[in-house]
Amino acid sequence: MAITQGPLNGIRVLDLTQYHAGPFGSMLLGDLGAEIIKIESPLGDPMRWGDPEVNILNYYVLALNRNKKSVVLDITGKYGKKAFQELVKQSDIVYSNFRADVPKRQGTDLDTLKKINPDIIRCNISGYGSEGPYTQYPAFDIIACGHSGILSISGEDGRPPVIPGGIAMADMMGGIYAVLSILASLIQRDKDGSAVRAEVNLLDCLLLMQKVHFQNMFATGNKPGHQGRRHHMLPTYGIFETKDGFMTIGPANDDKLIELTGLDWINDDPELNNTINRIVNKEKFTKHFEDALRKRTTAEWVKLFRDDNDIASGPVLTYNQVANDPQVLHNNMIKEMEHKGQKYKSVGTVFKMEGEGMIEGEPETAPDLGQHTAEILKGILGYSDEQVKNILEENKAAIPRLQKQKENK
Amino acid sequence: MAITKGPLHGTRILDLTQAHAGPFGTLLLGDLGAEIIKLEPPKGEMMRGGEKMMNTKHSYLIGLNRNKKGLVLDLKSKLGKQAFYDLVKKSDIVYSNYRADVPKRIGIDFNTLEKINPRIICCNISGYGETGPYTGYPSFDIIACGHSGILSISGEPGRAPLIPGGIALADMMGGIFGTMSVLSAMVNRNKTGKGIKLEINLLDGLLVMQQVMLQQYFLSGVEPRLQGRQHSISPGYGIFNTKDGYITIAALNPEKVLTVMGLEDVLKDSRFNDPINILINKDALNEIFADAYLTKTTDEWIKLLRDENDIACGPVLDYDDILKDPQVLLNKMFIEMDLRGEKYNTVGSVFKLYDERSESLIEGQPEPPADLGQHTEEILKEILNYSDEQVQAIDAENKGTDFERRAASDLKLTYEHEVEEAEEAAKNNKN
Repeated sequence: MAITQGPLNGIRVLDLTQYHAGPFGSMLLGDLGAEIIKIESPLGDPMRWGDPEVNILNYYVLALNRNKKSVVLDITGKYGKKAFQELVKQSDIVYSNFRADVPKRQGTDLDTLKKINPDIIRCNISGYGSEGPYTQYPAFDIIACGHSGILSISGEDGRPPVIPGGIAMADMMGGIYAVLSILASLIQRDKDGSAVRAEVNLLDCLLLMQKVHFQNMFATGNKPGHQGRRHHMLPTYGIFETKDGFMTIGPANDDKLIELTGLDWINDDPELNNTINRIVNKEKFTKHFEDALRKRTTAEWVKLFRDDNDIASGPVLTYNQVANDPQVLHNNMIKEMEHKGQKYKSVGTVFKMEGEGMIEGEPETAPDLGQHTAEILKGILGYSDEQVKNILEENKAAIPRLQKQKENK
Repeated sequence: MAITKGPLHGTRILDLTQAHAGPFGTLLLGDLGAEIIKLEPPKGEMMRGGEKMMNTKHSYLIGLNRNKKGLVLDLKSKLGKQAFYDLVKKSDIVYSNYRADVPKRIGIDFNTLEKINPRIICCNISGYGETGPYTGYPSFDIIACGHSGILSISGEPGRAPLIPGGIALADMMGGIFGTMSVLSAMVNRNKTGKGIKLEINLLDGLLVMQQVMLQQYFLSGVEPRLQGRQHSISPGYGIFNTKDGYITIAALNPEKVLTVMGLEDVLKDSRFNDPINILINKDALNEIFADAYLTKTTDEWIKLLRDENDIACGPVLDYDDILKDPQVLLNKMFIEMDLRGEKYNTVGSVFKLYDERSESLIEGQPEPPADLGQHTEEILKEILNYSDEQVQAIDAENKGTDFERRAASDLKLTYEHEVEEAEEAAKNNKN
C-alpha cells in the first residue's frame, strides 16, 4: 500500500528528522504524495529507543511516520556520508530538526549541499532560531511553550499554567510551518530553479499562533492572562457546564441566548439589559448564565440552540465518542492500517482534494528501523550487494560510539 | 509599502474569507508575497462590526489582514457577480471559509469557476466537512474544539476543560491547513496546468493535531484524561512550580536530571532503579521532582540544568517579558506598522527563506489592512480595465445594499473600545 498520486508526486524528501516536530511535518508531505526517505542513525529515531516490546513511546513512531521509508546510514562515516551525498543528488528536499549549529558541523547545510545539487531545498527546524543568544540551548516542545508566552495564557485564572490543549503544540507547529516553508520553496524553485534555505523555529511559530492576543495587548495595554474557559470579550462564548457534562457555545446573538435560557428578566436589570452592560458586569451575568445552563443536559441545549435555532454550539466529546462520531467517520479521519499483519487505527489525512493530481492510494504503515536500506541503496543509487554490505557493516560498527554519546546526553 | 518579492509574488488570491480561520490562512499567503484581494460584501466582513474604517483597536481585523486590498462587491447582484467572474479569469486562487453549502449556492464553487478559468484553485474551509451529518450546522472555533475531543484533554485533571492553549486553535489550524492545501495545489498545477478543488474543515484539522494522543488511545484503548501540566507517559516532562514561579523541563534522561539536582539517592529506590521502573512509577517520581523544584528559584534551576548541564528547560515568560526578550527581538517577530500615520505593533512573519547566497527571498514592508472597499476602484480599473461608468454602476449597486451597523448574520459582536467607553461612562455615573 502506498499513496500513489498527489500534488507532491515525484518530489523526493531526505528526511533527517527525529522526535516529534520534524516527523509530523514529513508525515504531512507524505500525505500529499511526496516520497519520504527517513534517514536514521544506526540507533534510530530516539523515539524508537528501547526494546519495541516495552517501548511505550512506540505510539509516537506509529502516529508520525506513515508513508516513510527507513534507511539507516551513519552520515558521519565514510560510506554513509557518500551514500547520503549521492541521495542528495537525486532528491528535492533535505529536511531536519537539529539544533541550529548541527547542519554545518555535520555537513548537511545548504552551502555544502548546493555543491552536490544546485537546486536542493534545505529546511531545518530549530528551537529558537539559527542565530541569537539562545541558539545553543536545547529546546523541546514545552520549553518553547514557556518561552513564547503561550503558557501565560494557557490555564485558568489564579492557577498554574497547563500544557496548551494537552498536546505538543510547539512541535506540531514547527512541523507545520516547515511544510508551508518547503511548499513555498518548491514554488520558488519552479520559478527560478534556485536552491533555497528555509529556517523554522518553534519559538516564532508559537508567537504567530498568539497573534490576536498580542494585538489585543498592543491595542489595550493589558496583558491577556490565563484564558480559562471563555472568550476574553464575549461572556456567552466558551465552555459551559450543563446538567450532565459540558457544552460549547460560539459567537451568538446574546439576546437570543437569554431568551432561550429563560433569563428574560435580565432585560429589566439596568446592569445587564444589553450586550455592553453584560460585558461590563461580566461576573454577575456569567453567574446567572452558568446557573441557567446547569438546569438541562448538553443534548437538550444543543437541540434547542443548534438544531432549532441555528446557534453555533455543541457537545464536548471524549475520545471514545470521537472515534465513533458519524461526521468523523464520514470524513474518513479514522484510518484502519496494518503493521506486520496487525491491524490498528490511526488518524487519517486532513487533505481533501478533487481534480487532476488529487490524492489517491492508501497510506503505508510506519517502517521498522532500516527496513528499506538495501531497497533504496540498490533502487535509487544502483548499489551492488557488496556496497550495501559496506554500509551495513559501517552502521553496526557505529553503534557502540553512538550508545556512549546517548548515555552522556 | 508592500511585500515586493516572495515565492508567491505574481500569485493573485481572491479572498472571500471572514472572521478568523480564513483570514489567518490568507495572511500567511500574503506574508509569502501573494497579492490578496479581500472581497467583502457591502456590509463588510463579520469582524468589521459595521465600521468602514480600519482601526488599530480592532485586534482581530488589524491582526489578521495585513497585505490585503479591500474590494467591495455584492455577489448577490448582477454587476458584482460579473465583476467577480471577470476577476476569476485573472486570478490563481479563490479562498473562502463558508458553511459547506454556500459556495455552490452563491455560484463560486469549483465546478462553476473552472469553466471560467481551468487553472483556478478553489479552497473552502468549513466547520465539519463538505458533506455528512453535521455539515448543515453552524460551527466556530470552540464548537470544533468540543467535537474533536481536544477539550477532553485540555485542562487540569478533575476540573472543567479549558480553551486549548488559550487561543483559537481550531480557527488557526483551519487557515493553516487551508493554506497548506493551496500551496500544494500550486505545486501540482505547475505540473498539470490544471486547477483543483480543496476542502478543509476545522474538525479534521484538530483531529490531526491530536495525531499522537489519538494514536495512544487507539493502541491502549484507554481514554486520556485532561492532561494538566505533565506529560502522560514521560516522567519529569512538563511545567513545575519553583520557589518564585515556574519552570518548563523536558527530562529525557531522568537519571541525569536527578543526579544534577543532587537527588542521585532517589535512583537507589526500588521504584526508580531502572528505566522501566521509572516509567511505571512516573507519578511518584514527578512528585519528587515537584518537591525538589520548590527549593530553588527558576533562574537558579535554569543556570544549573540548562546552562551548566545542557538539559532542556526554561522559564515561563509572560507577554511583557517576551517583548523584551533578546531572541524574540533578533528573530524580528514583532514589527512596527503604520496605519494612516498611526504607528502600531504586530507579530511579524514566521517565514525565513533564503537563496543560495543567503539573501532573503522575501523583501518589502507589509501593508496595513485596508478600509472597507478601499481599493475597489483601483482593482476594477487596473485589473479589469473597467471604465468610470462601470465603476460607478458597481458603486451604485453596492450602495443599494443597506449598510448595517451590525454584521451580515445575526451574530452580535462587541469591540474592546465599546466596552472601554461603557466602563468609563459607568465610572463617571458613579462619581
